[in-house]
Amino acid sequence: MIITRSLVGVISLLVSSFAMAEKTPTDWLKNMDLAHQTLNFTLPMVHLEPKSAQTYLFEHGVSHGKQVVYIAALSGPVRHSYRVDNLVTYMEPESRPYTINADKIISPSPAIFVGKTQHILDNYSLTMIEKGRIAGRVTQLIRLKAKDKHRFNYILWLDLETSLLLRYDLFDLNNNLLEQVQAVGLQVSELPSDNILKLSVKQNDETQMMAAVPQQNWKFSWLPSGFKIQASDSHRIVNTAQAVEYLMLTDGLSQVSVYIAKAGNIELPAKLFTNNGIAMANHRQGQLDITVVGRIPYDTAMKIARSIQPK
Amino acid sequence: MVSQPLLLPLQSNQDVEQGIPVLQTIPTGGYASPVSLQTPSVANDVQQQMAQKERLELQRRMNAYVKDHLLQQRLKSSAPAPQE
Repeated sequence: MIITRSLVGVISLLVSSFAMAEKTPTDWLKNMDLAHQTLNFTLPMVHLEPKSAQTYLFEHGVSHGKQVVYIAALSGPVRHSYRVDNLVTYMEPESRPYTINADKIISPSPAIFVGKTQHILDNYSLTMIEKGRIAGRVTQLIRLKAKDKHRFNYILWLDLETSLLLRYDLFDLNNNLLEQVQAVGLQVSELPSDNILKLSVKQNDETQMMAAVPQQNWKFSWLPSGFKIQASDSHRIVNTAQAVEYLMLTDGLSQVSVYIAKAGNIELPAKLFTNNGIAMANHRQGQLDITVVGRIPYDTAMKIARSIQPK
Repeated sequence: MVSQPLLLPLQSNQDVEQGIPVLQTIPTGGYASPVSLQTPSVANDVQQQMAQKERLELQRRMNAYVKDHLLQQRLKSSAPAPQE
């Protein structure tokens, strides 16, 4: 009897290990998608960038048929945001709370890869590398190497048991680490947390932001593969009140802002970087200043700036 | 017959991450400002003030662009693509 049980145990372990071995990176991404949309879990995490570190709480759950995500900074000023289906609310000290119609929270978060499998497959080569250990759990590492030189590279750490993303690192083209989001614990539960339950039935009283009217005055003679125009408008820059025409480009993972403004008296430097890998390329074209801002290689940003032209 | 437990090979995190750079999050500290023993002329002083003003203005504009970029990511995160 004992021998039979042991045999069954060994066989099932063998079968599961073969199944695990057969999983492709695409399978892992699809499983991650599903896990991040269906499981109830709490994930304390740390977000590291050069010269900055912040701890967050990430919660996900499905309650009353609604998908709820909650992200809160655990230190410093109270700063939190939550998504209930396609409504995202941001609550921060520097502004009144506001709600946007969106399918994701813009914040350091393991959810940034969710629903992006096709974008990832189109723009990155995927390689399964070693196994690792994050938050006390065994993980599978997957390297996302950009197929061209127009975007940065990632490594993902996926939980072997649940397929949840427990860590990602972002690297520039010289393999410098720009950003790291890492779980320091994971709690998966059958039922959503009290917080998720409350948010799922909460009446949304916050200011609703309306989508701006798109402007269609500009086109690009060149864009990096996979990038397309996601949005456009005319607005004034916060803080300086400078009037700009604006286009947002995206490849699914990175967002790039393109600003077209009347040339000022002082020309901005052509090349600028922030500590965390945001490049700013400035190009003066006649009476216009074209500024491209995004977490992409500087050369790509400048090429985009030079490729814009009126329709 | 005693069954042998199946051990899956598992590399330690240290081994795995040997090739992965580590973020340096601690500021490396300040640095000494240059000290000058020369007394600047009035003209130089005005020029320096202008340069300083320009530098501050540039910095303000650059910071504003980065801040706006971060804000637009939120506001446009699910905006419909404009018609071509």
